Amino acid sequence: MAVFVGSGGHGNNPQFRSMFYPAFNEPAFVSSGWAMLGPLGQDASGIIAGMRIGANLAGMQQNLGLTQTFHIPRRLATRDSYTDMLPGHPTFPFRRSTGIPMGLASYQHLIAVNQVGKRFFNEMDLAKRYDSPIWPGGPRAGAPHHSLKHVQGDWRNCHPSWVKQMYNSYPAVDAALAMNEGSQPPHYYSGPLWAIFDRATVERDKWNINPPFTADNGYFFSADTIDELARKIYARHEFQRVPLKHLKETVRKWNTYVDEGSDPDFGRGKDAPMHKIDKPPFYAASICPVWHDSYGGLRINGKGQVIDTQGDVIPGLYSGGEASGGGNQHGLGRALVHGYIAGGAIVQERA
Amino acid sequence: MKHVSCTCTVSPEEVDAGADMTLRVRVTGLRKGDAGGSHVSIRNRDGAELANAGLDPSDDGTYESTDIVLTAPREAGEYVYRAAVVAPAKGDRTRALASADVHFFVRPHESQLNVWDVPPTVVVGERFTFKVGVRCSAGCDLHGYGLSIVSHGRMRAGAAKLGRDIWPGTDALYFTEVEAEAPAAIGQHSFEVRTGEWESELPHVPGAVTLALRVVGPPDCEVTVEVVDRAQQTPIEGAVVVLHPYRATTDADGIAKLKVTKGRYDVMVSGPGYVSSSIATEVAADMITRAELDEEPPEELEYGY
Repeated sequence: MAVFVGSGGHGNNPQFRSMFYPAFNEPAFVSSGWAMLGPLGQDASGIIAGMRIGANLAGMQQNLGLTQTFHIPRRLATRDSYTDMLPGHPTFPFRRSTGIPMGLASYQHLIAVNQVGKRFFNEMDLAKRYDSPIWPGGPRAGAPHHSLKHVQGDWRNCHPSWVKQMYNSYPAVDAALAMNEGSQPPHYYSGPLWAIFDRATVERDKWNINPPFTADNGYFFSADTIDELARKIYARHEFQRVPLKHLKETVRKWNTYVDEGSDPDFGRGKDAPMHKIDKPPFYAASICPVWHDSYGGLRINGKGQVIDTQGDVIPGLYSGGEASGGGNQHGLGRALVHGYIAGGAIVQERA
Repeated sequence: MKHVSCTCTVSPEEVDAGADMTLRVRVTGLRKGDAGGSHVSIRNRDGAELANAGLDPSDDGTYESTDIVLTAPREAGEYVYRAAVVAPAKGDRTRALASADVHFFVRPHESQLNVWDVPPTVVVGERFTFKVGVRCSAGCDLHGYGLSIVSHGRMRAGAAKLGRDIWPGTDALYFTEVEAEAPAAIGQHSFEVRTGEWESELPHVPGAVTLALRVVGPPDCEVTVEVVDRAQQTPIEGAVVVLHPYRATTDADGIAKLKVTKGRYDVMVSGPGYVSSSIATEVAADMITRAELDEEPPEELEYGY
């Protein structure tokens, strides 16, 4: 008899994923497609089951290798910020709001604040995506050669800038998840993130903030004043553990920067206009980073057999897809290939 | 014999004077025989009953009251109410099975002020308008309440009264439009808008907000900026054109006109759905310029792989 662990990855398990990226332990942020998969999706349960009987892990560092893994999607006011389902989709009742779709230029109309109401990054760069250093990416991805010119196995193909990019390619997420003065023991969660804007934003950039793009689900708030906005967020958002005590001062300071035409804190105003946030009502919409895929999991060999910490095969235990680690691939293609390989191996083992 | 005990929670623990607050009582150790006729009585420090409510059984064997909504006292301060679990006794008499104190704070109403539609620049000595809105933290009707506008030198610069209407899209933001005269000196000026004396039985804390005003000299030149979609060569309406500190919005023909003083500016243009552009320009006389914006590509979502 054989057991095949194909339970998916670990992107939705804050404790597991934070073993390898400690800042991403905030449970407010979920894996992409959370509304479709539900809370048990991507929960690392199969990987943990394998670990309990001695399985080794592999490929955990590959989580850090692709900018696709964790990023800040361009969608506000929904927890599942990676997807965009509308009412009528079977998973819509779980998300309850589609979210406000954003162009990169639209970030000029908001400020982004952390759980205590302080800005943390240049908002214009918040949702920018950088090229992933996927082999053989060529010069655009920091590798010297492209496609067939790349010589597999030759270490000289690995340009130093490529290596550097792997670990320093997405500072917006690092800033968003940074511990701050609202982070409290024992977990020191970074807390939720909020886009703060006003009525003038909605009119100027033609945002649709009506249902189903927003909902009364704790991920979007409207208020007469900034004081009231901060109070509502603290009272009604499930992961807002501390008051946004700096929000009023942050907005006041931002409006001063707009008057002055420069942002000494984060350098806004160079590539797009800055706009005051002063026309009521005021709005707060959640910004939710996602952990999209996971590349690490149970260590397997070429047959899909799970390997223990001594390098030996665990008899009868197979794994594939995102429950397994390594290979630097993810998603459906990986799952199909692994299933085919392991399925064949299991049949041979039985024979 | 089981020991009967109770706890009482209040929400919010800090409440505006005269506003609603909600109490909930949880009782443990209550025998089924006593539960039928028992109720919860909420009393003030003098022992006067303010409200009472029945008890409903919970799945865990405890009993809970329904939400008990009370009006908070009208004076600010710290208060203690007592929740008593009362059971019927012989005749008309009752007996208290348990009691618990609940502490809460009553705070004066807070005045929250906004100032908006302040022009980005005002020429020295010219009159200008802006809007002021005030919200009471408890949502009081503020129609007719007075405001004073004080300049940086603490001289009173004007006065206004809040109107009858609430600002569109808000719950209780009373507002008015204020007209004032710009100072005679070029530069950055600040004013303070303050709430006046409150004629209310409920305590209110006065509020204030600072208004920043950039006073400029008379303009020398007019800069006309035509904003178009680069691919379609069609005008973009509603684009924002900034020659800091001057700013304007394009009309239906994609035209924005800005009266500025001579100098070097970054002409920054942004339009809804377009990538922003910026170009440095020397303004020495009236001029016309054109900004062609590229439509922003949609984000590519990747599902399932």
